[in-house]
Amino acid sequence: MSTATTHDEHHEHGPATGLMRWVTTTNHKDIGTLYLWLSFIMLLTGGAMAMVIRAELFQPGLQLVDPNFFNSMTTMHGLIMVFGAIMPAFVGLANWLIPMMIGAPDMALPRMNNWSFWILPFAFTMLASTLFMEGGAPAFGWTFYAPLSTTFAPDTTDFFIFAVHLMGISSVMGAINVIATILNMRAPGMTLMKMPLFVWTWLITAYLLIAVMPVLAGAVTMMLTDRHFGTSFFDAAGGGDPVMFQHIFWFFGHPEVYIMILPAFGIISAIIPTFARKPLFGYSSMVYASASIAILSFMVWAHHMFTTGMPVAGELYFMYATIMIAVPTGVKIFNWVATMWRGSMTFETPMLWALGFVVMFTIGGFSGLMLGVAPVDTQYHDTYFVVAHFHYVLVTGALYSIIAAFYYWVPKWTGNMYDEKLGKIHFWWSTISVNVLFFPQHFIGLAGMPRRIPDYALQFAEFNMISSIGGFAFGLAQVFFLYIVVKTIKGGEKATDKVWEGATGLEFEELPSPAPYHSFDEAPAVK
Amino acid sequence: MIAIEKDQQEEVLRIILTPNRSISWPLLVKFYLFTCGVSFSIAMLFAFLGYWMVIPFSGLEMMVLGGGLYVTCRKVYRQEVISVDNDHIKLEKGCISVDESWQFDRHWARISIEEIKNFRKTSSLKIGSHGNFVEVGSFLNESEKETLAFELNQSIISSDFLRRVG
Repeated sequence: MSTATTHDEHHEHGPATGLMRWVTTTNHKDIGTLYLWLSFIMLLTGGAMAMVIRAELFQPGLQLVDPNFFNSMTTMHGLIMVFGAIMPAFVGLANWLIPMMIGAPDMALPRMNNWSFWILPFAFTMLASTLFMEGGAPAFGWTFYAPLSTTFAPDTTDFFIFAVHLMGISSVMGAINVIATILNMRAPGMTLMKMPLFVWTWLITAYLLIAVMPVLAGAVTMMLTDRHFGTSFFDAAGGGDPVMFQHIFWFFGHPEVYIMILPAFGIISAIIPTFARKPLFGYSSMVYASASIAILSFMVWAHHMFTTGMPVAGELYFMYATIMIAVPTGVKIFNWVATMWRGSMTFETPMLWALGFVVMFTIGGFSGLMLGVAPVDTQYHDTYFVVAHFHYVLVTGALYSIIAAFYYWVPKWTGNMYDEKLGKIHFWWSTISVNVLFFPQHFIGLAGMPRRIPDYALQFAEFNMISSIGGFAFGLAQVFFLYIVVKTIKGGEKATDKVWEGATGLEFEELPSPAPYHSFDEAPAVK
Repeated sequence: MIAIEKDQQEEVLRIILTPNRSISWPLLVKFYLFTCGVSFSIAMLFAFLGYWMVIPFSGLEMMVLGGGLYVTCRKVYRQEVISVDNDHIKLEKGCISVDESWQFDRHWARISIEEIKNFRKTSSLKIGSHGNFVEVGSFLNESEKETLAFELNQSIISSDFLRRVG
């Protein structure tokens, strides 16, 4: 009986080569990369549609496209940005980061992970193909209210319905994977209250997805049966209720908003402590605030429908419930500011994007409060004020956090530091242009300009022109971002293992840069 | 995780190895039932209002969620049992029942620790004899592997191995 020590170098095998690596991969990092690239392509595609919208609105009158195509552009832009850019980007980040953050070797269900990604390109191809079909792409807005999406919709709507089903299947599979991974595969010592906030917020997001996706699937299926199988779920002539479509849609749609912002809170909660060189202020209150936001998100959906003629008691309830969400959201903003208070702050690119998020997401939050007040919303409903509000939340909120996450974790992913000077140019270029783009929309909205119109009255001309100039500049800034991404992947100054002086977490403390293809073949020790 | 049991009557020492379980099966079942409750409540609410088509999607989704959680939980509920008696070392691997087993002559058995050259300097612990080695406790971390190697060494070498525990 004896003990021998030998060497084995075969365990550290890397990825396969060639195209089939990406088609058949079950590695969480590969799949994360695929998600991130898809979301970038979708961002540029949806962005190109936004450019068409802003070009048409550059001057009053019909300039470039016919009104139906304009409406198709607003519809496709919304759908592609929500389902194609923001959501897949967060799923990509979840794939890359969650196993590394909790000390797991991979996602819990790797084959399902592969499948949930590869459904998406087909879904978006199906959706985009409607642009080239007779009747044109769906033009009823990303909210696809009945009867616009049933009685009056083009035949291509069926492709839209199946594309939404595929996106839903993908999202549900991704959410199941995240839940199974976080619950079952945490390293020893990684208790729930030790998990990084990005992991917490994703656990809550996945739960929201699980809860609301069947509602979306049911809604689009009922649309399909109303269109082709003689049912009247949303047809008043057959005893149905078109307003009920709005209730069903927003029962899904409002939690969907939080699905797109909760992971952003997790990202910002990782970045600010690193560059303030202080632990996050009020970790547990951040967890409880995220959970409170998620619970409240199920109770406020009808604030999108104040003008449908609901009873005053209903308006009052939804108004108070909506405003209540400001409390846990305020807790988060307070905690981020308190984390920075007397911190030893530096302002590298990820921190700039995180600070941009805090300031401008708060602007979007305040305009959301205004819209939550029922009597005021009657004035603002369906105006450009609403457009300004949700773009401050989703562009300077969700998208900013995704870009911040890229700059923060890309040295860990590639082993290369990004170009700091270019990163800062990207930030200031984007931040100035995004405000030129969206801030004037508050004014034209308050002045009464409705959304989803290709032409407008003369008094809105100047602000629209300014907004369009901001839009073109912001669009160009994201092409510049593509250059930075490619440059960083191809090379650059080598990153240290810890990357940032103040970084904490298993991915920085237990893994080299770049992180190996297989991170944790065995569980790390959690302090 | 390493647990050591001894059976004085049969004169067998058992070392039971299990992966880390970050959630217990009963808690996971509670989580699943709660999620089903939330999902079906939403579906029933809409069904009550006449919009019943949410129900099949909720059902389908809960089936997939249940399947996913079960499959993952099964992975972390696998275990390896090393039984040492006077003449043999028996290694059994499985989950609910024994899926694979190996038996070695105790007097010829040896333990091998292979260092894997990677960033985290992990190792692979193997047990076997006559050139036939099987990895044990691949899911254990380094300190647990060290403990296991020590326990195996001591228990297998020592003639009164049953006195070592309990």
